[in-house]
Amino acid sequence: MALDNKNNISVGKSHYQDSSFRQLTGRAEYIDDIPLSENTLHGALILSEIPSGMITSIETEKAKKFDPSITVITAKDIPGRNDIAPIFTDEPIFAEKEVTYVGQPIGLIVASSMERARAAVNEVQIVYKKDKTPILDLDLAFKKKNFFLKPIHFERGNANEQIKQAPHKLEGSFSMGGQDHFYLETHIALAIPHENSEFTIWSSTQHPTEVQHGVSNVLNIPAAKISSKVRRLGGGFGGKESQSTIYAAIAALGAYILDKPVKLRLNRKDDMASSGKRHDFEVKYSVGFNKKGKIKGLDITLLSNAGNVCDLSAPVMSRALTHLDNCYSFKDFTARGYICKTNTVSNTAFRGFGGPQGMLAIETILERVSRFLEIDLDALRHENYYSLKNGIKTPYGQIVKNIKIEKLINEMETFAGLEKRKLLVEKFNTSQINKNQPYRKGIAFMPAKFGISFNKVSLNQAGALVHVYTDGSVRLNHGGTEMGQGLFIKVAQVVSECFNIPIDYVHISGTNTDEVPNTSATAASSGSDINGMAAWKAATVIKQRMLKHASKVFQKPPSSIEFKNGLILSGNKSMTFKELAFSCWENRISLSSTGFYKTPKISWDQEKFKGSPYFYFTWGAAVSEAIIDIDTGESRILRADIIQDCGTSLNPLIDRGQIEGGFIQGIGWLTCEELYFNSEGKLLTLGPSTYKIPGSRDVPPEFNIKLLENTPNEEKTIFRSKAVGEPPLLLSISHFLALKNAVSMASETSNADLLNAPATPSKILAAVHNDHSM
Amino acid sequence: MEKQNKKSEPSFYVNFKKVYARNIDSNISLLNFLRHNCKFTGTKEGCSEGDCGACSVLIFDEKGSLAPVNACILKVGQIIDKNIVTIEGASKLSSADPLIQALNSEAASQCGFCTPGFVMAALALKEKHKSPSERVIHDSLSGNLCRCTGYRPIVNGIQSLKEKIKFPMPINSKGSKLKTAIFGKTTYIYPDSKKELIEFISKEKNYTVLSGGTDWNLEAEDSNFKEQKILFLNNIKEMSTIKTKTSSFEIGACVTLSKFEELCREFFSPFLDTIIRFGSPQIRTAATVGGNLGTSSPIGDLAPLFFVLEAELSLLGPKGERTIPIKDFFRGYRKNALKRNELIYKVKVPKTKKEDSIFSWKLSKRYDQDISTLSLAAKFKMDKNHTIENIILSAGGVGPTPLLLDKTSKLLKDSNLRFNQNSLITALSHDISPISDLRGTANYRSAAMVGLIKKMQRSVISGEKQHSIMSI
Repeated sequence: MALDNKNNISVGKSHYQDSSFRQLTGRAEYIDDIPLSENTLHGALILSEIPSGMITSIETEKAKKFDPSITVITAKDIPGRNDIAPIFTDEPIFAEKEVTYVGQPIGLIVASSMERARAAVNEVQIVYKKDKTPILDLDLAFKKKNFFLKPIHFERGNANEQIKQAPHKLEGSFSMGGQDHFYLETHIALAIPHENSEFTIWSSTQHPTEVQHGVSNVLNIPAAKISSKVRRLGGGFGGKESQSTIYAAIAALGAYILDKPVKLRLNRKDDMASSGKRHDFEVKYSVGFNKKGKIKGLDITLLSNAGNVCDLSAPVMSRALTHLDNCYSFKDFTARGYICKTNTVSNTAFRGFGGPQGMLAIETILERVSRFLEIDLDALRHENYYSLKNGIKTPYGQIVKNIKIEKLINEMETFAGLEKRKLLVEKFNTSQINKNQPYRKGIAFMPAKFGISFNKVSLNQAGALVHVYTDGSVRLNHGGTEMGQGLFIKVAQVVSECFNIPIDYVHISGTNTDEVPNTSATAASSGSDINGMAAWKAATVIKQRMLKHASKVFQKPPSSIEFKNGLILSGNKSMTFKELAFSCWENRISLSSTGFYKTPKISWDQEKFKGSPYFYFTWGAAVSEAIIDIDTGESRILRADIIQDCGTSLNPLIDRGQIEGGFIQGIGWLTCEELYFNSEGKLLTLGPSTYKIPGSRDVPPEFNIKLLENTPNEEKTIFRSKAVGEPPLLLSISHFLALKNAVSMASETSNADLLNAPATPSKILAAVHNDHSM
Repeated sequence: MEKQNKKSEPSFYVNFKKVYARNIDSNISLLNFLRHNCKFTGTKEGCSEGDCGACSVLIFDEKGSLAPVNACILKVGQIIDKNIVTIEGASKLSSADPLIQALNSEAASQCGFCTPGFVMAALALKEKHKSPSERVIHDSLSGNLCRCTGYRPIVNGIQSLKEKIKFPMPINSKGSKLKTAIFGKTTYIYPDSKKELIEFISKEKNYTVLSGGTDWNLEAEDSNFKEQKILFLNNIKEMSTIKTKTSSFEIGACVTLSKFEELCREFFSPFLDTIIRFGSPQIRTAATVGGNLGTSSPIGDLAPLFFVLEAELSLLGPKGERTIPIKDFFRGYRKNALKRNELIYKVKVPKTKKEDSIFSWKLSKRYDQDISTLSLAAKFKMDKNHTIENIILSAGGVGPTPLLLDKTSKLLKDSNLRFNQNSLITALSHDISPISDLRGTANYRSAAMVGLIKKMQRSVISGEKQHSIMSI
């Protein structure tokens, strides 16, 4: 496979997302747009209103009076197992006796229309016996030792001894908020029953196989009879990795009981109340260092808020812990991870999957140390970067190869002019102070290293199915799902490249468990790495057969035959790809193949918390410039410069979209997006009127993006590309550091330590005034 | 017979074709009608509260000019005989093609769910502006959320297009003559004169007054299937127009925020930022002046502006109109001076005099399309020696109702704006009683109010406009 993409027909070209034009004209079909048969019914969820307690009774008389034709379905109606947990067995689809968070599904009402189902739900009354002491926050869970699994503890060297002996030490704690995915398309599933207990489940999911298994378990019907499908998602971001299963299973249960198609589309309020989010974390640390900022010993404890069930919280914690090092070599290092169980909605995968929390933790600590020592943060980082001098082994034992930190720093200096701008920022602030004006700027650089592969080794596998038809058209199917990230076009580019045919010969088909079984979630940034390779393998099998046949037709050795832009060339003879395909069929040669890929070289021992869980690392760096208003606490990002390592990019246009979108999503997490729970554990930010994601004006007016050039992946990935889905999100931490930088220069009394994420106007003003009570 | 039936049947126009609102069992939203009854599924539901813009469609006003609106919080009962354009209709217009191509080239659509809404917002913008500035583009996209792209490709796509987009004329844009319409158990009543309105409110007891519906329709889910009467006010001409008198403006209660924005552009320009930030274009197309006051929220963005302008409200009841100063209108959290069967008919706003200066500042978590955490408005009059002759301060979000800040105004006047911070804090503590909620803590609100007054102070002393960091 080529290391560069200069002579390629498809790979490396900036093709549009495969259905972009249909999306722009309203013709792309999402699950809610699928034409329904007339007997289709609609569901709405009955959700718990209390965080913890027992259900005494579910009163549905009033609902039935409103519409006698409705059906109420609860836990007792489940024919199979009342559980859809992805890893453990602790996640009921309907609370049966005990409820464990506000927003937990208790039952389903099925009616002739969605509006009727929802109106009927409003008439349902649930009587509870309330638990008087629900656990609603991390502190209480930690105090009560309310954990999932055994706490993780791993160490290298002797951190505490080194901290003790270090010339300087600091300790402290801080928190960081969660984040709602706010995909524009809420959770939805359409379940259609067929003869012989077969079901088709259309659901907006990143993990059709898990939907298939969930439905199979709940209905007690073999997986082979469940066909799980999705053409596209209206956004996923991790929120539809494990979380979509429950809604699909509930719709399927309705269809099973009523023997009619049932659609369950959550309104935004129910979606935000019942489905999981990014984990909020708390960090406790002590750190010892010398006067240059070299970290001598580091002891970090992470608490994550798992919510009411474990879901994916264990691997999220693993990724957080394995990203605490970011780009730094910490020889004496201790880390602990506590997965806290609370009576709040179960948190789940979200772009970065714990990585952002781990990296924000270490960057916050280093920023504090640099302020304490009154030295430049970047100078401090230099003392600690992974290098042959400082060490290249992570605390969990993986060797960091092909380190690109220096390359990034050098390119960034030319790209962003960091050092000069640091001075300009200081000058601006001095002039604002002198003129009694309220603006302050801040600027910060940050490097990021992100590990690619699922932390659980078994998930790193993918399948694909390729058919070539006798007219030369190619049908491509694989286990990955399209949620806007451009996976389908990237994999199609790979297949087009394999046969050397124009991209429009390749027809992209929707994901389904009929064609490619036993797939992994499209997650962990791995979509194009693993599905691209599986599709390449499938196409290669067919190509070899076609080549062998062409060799017979041309009576020339295969090595002299070339597939070129839809033609098959041999000396001065040629035929079209279509002619060869037809000829293969005539000669009874199979034009269909599967492909299978498993990521090599990875190993992990969760018990010892040791191994090499990542096939490779991606590298990136960003400079953010922020401005704050010290009258009001308002803030804004003024400029961002990003350099991201995409290896040899499969599609620069798509990768750029991932970088920009991921970065802005991170800005939202760190600034305006605040999940607000009241004292009864009820989330009050249940829609975009109260939960504010970034809008178009919140994007930096100057936004420069560059893909790192001439850096093919050293590992043998598909066309030497690198994953891009999650890593750019972590670079948004640079903006948070820039805000801290601005706060630290706001006035003599300001205290940047008070600024925790999300940096809302309230928190920024609190830090400026050094007043906890805001 | 059939002809007559058709005439009294509620109908409107979608993509330049007449559609009848038949076989409807509830107070249905335009969005659900488009998706379920018309099978126009290009218009998406993202939030159902008018905040994400995925359901944006275009609506023609009576002058044939078009504007974006959120179909999710607009009821079919509100758009009788109006012209609506959806993505299906718009994308077929050859004039829209360059925009769609430009957005495609920029990769402005990733997951695509928000995309039709963005296309509609962009079309509305490009129908009016040939080459809008970045700022105007952001204003026009403030009602549309995208979670994938980071917006830059959308903004670039719009910017790359240098031509206006032309739309065909709407069909039959004359007003509706329909008197009532029934949707399930909901009856809409459409008076088109003050006389008819008085007749109705004199005899009916249980009904809901509706105009733009950007607040009330959010709560409508509970009542969609219930027996109810809705008194729809927008067909009464006098209520939807602004009259210019010698020394004042008479603003009908159903004047939309978009129309009010035009008035502000000319006569109250320091308020313009606050008005644009009142809500997205989609919201401002529907939301009304009377509605914002009538809901009597402690953070209604218009109230502080009207307080400092010393507006009067004309309230209409069965016995006719009565006038009260706005400062006497709010009577507690979501309570007001309206008696049973009374409604806000007009707002009389005195023109500002040459020597008057006005100031306003809205503070929210996000700059665009967000509910205020707090807000401040001021009007002051300076004499030749730069001494304050008079000052009125009003604030939202710092008490159960929008407030006049009397003690603080006095301090500012007496000290001629040379107060010290402690005396300001003391004065404010008499005037405001903020609470903690999801938009900010009480202490934050108090501290930020000090910040806003400092901004006003700087603006008065320097005579220069204070800019938000979002507009520098």
